[in-house]
Amino acid sequence: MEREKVIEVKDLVKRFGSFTANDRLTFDVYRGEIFGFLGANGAGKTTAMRILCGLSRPTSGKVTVAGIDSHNPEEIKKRIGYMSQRFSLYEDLTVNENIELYGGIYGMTMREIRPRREELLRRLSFTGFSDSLILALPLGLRQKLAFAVALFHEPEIVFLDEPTSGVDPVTRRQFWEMIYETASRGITVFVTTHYMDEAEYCDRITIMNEGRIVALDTPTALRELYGTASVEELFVKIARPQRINA
Amino acid sequence: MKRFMAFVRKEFLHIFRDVRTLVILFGIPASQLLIFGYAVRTDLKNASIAVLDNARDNVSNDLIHKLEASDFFTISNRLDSYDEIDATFKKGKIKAVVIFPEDLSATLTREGHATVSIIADASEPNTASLVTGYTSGIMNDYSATLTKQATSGLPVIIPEVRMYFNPNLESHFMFVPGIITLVLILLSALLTSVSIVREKEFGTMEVLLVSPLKPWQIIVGKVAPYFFLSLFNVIIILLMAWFVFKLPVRGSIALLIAECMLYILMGLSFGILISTIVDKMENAIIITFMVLLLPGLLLSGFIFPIENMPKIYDYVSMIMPPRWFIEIIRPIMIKGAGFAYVWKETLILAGMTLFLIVLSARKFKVRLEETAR
Amino acid sequence: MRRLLFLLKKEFRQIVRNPFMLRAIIMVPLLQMLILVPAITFEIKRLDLAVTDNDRSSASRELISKLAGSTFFKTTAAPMNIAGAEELLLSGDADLVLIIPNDFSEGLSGMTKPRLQVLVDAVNATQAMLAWSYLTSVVRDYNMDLVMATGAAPATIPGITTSPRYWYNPTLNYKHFMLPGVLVILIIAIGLMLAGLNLVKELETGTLEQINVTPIRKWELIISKVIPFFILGLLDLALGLTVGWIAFNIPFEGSILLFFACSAIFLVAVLGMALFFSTLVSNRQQYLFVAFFFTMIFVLMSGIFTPSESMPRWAQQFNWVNPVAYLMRINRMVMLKGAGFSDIARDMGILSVLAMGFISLAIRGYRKRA
Repeated sequence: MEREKVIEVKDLVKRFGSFTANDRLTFDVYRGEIFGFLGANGAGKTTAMRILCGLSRPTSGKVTVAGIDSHNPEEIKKRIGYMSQRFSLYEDLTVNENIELYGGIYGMTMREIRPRREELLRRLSFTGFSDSLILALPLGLRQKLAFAVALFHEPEIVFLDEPTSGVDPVTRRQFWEMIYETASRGITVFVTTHYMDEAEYCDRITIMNEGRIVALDTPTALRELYGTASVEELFVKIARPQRINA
Repeated sequence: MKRFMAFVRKEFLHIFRDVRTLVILFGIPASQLLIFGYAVRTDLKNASIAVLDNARDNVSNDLIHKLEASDFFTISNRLDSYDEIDATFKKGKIKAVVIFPEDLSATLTREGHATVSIIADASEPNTASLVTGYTSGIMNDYSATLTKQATSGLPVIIPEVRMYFNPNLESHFMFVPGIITLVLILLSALLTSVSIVREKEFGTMEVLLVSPLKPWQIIVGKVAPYFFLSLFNVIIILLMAWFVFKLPVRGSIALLIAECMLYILMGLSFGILISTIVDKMENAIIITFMVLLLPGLLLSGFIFPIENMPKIYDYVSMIMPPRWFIEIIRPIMIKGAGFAYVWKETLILAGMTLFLIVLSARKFKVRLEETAR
Repeated sequence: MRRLLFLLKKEFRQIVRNPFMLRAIIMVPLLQMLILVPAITFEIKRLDLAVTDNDRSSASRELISKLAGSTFFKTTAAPMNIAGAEELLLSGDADLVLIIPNDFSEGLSGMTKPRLQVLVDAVNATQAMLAWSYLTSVVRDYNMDLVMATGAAPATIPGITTSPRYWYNPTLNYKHFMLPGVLVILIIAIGLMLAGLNLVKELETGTLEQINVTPIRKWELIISKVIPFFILGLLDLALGLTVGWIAFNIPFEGSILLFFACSAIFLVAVLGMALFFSTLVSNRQQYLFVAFFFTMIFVLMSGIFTPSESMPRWAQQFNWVNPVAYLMRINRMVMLKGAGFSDIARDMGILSVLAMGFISLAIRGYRKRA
């Protein structure tokens, strides 16, 4: 079966002055994958992800996201969803209002938004909360909702930046069930995380170190390759924390 | 104690790392001194007036000459008819029109008395009354020379004047104390409340409350840098006023500084009080502005003397600390008054400060207990 | 376009949800109008005059009663000597002190020239000058009486008097003067402070980052932030004007349309400034101080309290780029003198240029940020 590529990265280089944050990255992501993007702090994950999301441009190399070249970030943004590390929902708006806002931003009309919103809330068992301010919701609920909102406009790819940080284990579990469910619908999930056990849940992972990719394969294959029992061990082995540039 | 000092150090570092705010904090008094010292004038200088000379004789020429020669006026238009006046005013170029009647000299010789009309643009009432005041002053001077000639030998009294405290009649004497008042409010009240509320917003306040630091240590640690910053700023203002305007502090500097410290304390407690009431930074700003800053600026006697306002403002301003502070430092700075002249006001200010401290301490404790739950 | 509507919905919802903000929006114009306008006046009421009469003759009493009778003065204490007089000045109990020497009436019969000393508290220089000028005019009256008493005909005392008339504001009502000014401050408060803080908040709390990933264009974001405060600013202006009209019966000579048009242009300039400042700072506290700093300068220099024409050259040149100065002039001319479009066309034109200038500064700043 020919697997379709939704993200193609070839020799991506990003430099800030004399500092090279991304050094000739090359990888592809396939449709419907759960792709884990790992690396120590300062390894260049965030920089690469920002380029993929259309937030910045590569210094050189070719990047194609959802079929659109990175030189056309506006088009890319229309086809992707994003859940940021910090709060992405407006605290002083209700659940309903936030969903409505993001739906509208992605070009849906109220007529399209309303039924989909009801369905979403039902699926998440959120209907009781529809008129609550985000401020009033606990963190776990917020994260789940933020994820759902990122998917609301049915993008091809959704980028998750450390989505489960600070969340309790039960909610984390539920969150990953949501991720599985999303992937099974054909939406590609691109996720960065520091939780090594979550890395095990991904279809494929890549590990970055000092601006370069040092591993790219399924978790199983990598574990066998490096002879470690877990991804965590593997990570510790090959991902050295970034030295602070003098 | 060591923990406390570490906390205080952190607060100082916060402030000094924020270079932009720091620059502005010192820029504000500097720019105000410049503006009030050189730009804002409650007096008249080179005001544009127009002249409608229907007399065209020696007397009118003399008078026009005198007007032109004075510092107060500049004659920018010579009008030809009465009908032009409205249009000229509407253009907004002139402040007044001086109209000399046709038979000026004749009336003067015959009756000894003549009248010159002045039509002033009273949409700026202050300017208008100054214009009429000064033009009549100039006319009076002219009359006096005429009178002298006519009455030499007759007894008249000539008064002599001594201008106390401000012999050169500089207008900025009034303002420097006001600038100090304003700046201190900004620094002690506004900054304090904003900084505490900010910690609340970002959740770092809770971290502090759970630490071994006692609540009083947190508060004192938070406000200590602003106390010193304010004091430092006052000294800078005084130095600038001295170097730029030759404005001395006639009274005791120690007394002045002591009173400033009292006022700073007042501002700090006000800031703390505000921080216990609001949760969002914008709200802290809105309240401090509306309740302390604007009234402090406009109703405290800084620019506009309270005596000139409707009586009710006098009463209302009594609950405003800036009003009392200005009544303390103005006499000290400019008149050289000692404590004996300001002890009453100092007592009132101290009372207000004490009240604010107690209130804010109590409120803070209540807030603490709420979060502990 | 539809995106913009959704954004606007969100902005308005957020504003309405913040009770403080709402209260401020309504209360600020009310309070400013009702409290500030009557307070701000340079009118001088009666001055406290103290007199030391060392002569105690009918001549000196005559002089004192003339002074007491004038509307300028209010006689208070009678200090014993110069030291006592200086005490009064120091304590602020007297604004000026007149010292009549003991050879006053003698001097008047031509023996000696009596020196009439006047000590004036000159901390407020303008007040001091006016006090002196009032005093000399009363003395002049007294002199007239003296001369006439010697039997000389009035015609031998030539004098030119002035007869003042006040146009556009015959009662010299300061409120008429200050109201336009306070309205301008109102616009600045809403436009610069509230709008700017709102903008910086998104930056500070990180919601801006989320917006950046969406298809929202930069200009859409900026417009969505500007429009609500533009509308609110104009509404507040209308509110303030209505309150001013009801409370103080301020006349409105000119065209209201013209007034609002110019205020709208000014508001755009202010919002542009707010946007620009927001690109210079990283949090709300910094914004507050930057905005306050420039506001103080622009407002004070604009001629709101004192005429800008009296300012030195450099100040007047500065005012070329000071939007507040333009609106202040326009407002007063339109409201109080009924100036028409042709009278203010030039000011309006320059103000528009300034507005566009600030907006482009803001846009440039935003591009750099990205």
